[in-house]
Amino acid sequence: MALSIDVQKSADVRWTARVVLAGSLDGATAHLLEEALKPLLDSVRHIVFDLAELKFISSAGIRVLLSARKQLKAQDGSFAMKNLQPQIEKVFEIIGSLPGFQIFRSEQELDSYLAAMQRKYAAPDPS
Amino acid sequence: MTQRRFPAVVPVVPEAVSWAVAQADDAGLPEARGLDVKLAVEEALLNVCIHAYGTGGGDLTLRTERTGEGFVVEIEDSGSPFDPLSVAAPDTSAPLESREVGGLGILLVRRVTDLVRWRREAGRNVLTLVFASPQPPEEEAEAGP
Repeated sequence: MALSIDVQKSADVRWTARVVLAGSLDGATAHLLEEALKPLLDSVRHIVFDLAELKFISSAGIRVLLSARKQLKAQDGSFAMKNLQPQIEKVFEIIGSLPGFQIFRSEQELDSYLAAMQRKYAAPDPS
Repeated sequence: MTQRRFPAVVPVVPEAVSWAVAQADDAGLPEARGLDVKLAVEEALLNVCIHAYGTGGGDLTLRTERTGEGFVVEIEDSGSPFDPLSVAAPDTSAPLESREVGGLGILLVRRVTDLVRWRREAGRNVLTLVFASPQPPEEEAEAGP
């Protein structure tokens, strides 16, 4: 199973991006995410990972996510995940990390979060 | 029983994992359990590749079988003695960043398998992963006198 990565920088909220993952984040594909995140981590502070289509994760993938989370926190930013499939949720529960991560259970929660971010980083007035 | 040999190197792990999952499929394991097989085998194989042979390199043998216990995967290597189960489990109450990332793999193996055993036999490490069959339905009790 391959990994597809779609990075969507927010047009409305500065310093924010959504990263959509699909497929398998494992020993073979984790380096692809690591490479995709390198330039992104230099230019955003808040990343929401949309994992709706992520079918599988192993410790290799978790390491990349942990490293990204660490860097974002060091930059006074945030790391969040949404739409975890049962297998993915199970793996995070096993490694006891869920309390440390911010997980959105619905679009409304995510929208509220982004609205708060927008207020915090109001885009400059075009006029 | 099916068996295949692979070089014990990280780039080969995806192929070995796919092979093990295909055997699980053939053995009739449901898809969710197949994901457990995928996870446990990947984590176990990465452990072997990193620990067993040092710079020398070597092979590993993957074996799968349906037994009374369920679907069984055995990973055998002839590297130096290394019991992955002896690695202390990470403290899962500690903040994530401070935990030994190396212990995560074996923690995952323990939690998604029903049984995991390691033995040293004739110069080989043998790691056995068991994915138990679901319980058969209870037989109807015979009517009493």
